[in-house]
Amino acid sequence: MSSPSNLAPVVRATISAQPLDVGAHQDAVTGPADGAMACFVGTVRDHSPDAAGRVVLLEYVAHPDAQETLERIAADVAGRYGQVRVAVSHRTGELGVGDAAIVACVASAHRAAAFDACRDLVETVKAELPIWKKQVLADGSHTWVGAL
Amino acid sequence: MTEVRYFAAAAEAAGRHGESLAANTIGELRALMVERHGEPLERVLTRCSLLVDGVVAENDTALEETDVVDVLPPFAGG
Repeated sequence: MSSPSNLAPVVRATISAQPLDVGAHQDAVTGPADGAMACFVGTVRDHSPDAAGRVVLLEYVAHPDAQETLERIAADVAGRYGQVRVAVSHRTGELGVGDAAIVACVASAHRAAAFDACRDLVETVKAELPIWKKQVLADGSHTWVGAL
Repeated sequence: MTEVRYFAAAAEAAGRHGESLAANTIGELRALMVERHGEPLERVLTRCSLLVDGVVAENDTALEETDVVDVLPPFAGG
């Protein structure tokens, strides 16, 4: 078994229709040379600035190129920080309130790089990953976030 | 004919995920899409990027028969 410290900078970048496993992302990035791991979990909330009522469900839809784009984003971010390893996954399909929509974990020898790269990874995913979000409200109506 | 792929809010407004349309430029294509699918798509289109074979296009971008045009609403991941 190879040591995690010998792994490539991007150890996971996945668009997934299955529930995300935060612990698996943490295990995938950490190694004996690391003194820090930053882990972000983006979860479905029950309200939205552009929705009048309570949000009960989100549906994420991905472009067919999303997997390839996520791999590229993860590699770009890892490259900007040097000695870090990253694991990132984004959900598709229907998610309920509290479900994890995105998990991003970064391990590094020092906390500054782990924090900074994790934040960068999440912000870059939000800006560049071709995924869309439909929010379904308690009254059965729905809106596409950002589209109208 | 140019193959058009609609995503998310654009697919909902057009009532379909794709279709083949005959247009010489992106501007012509936009007009044709609005003509066929009306105000709901016109509204969404104001927020959309159109990509020709993966590259962002403007209204004067010329279209070839084999091009694939993606109609992409603003991304909303995370």
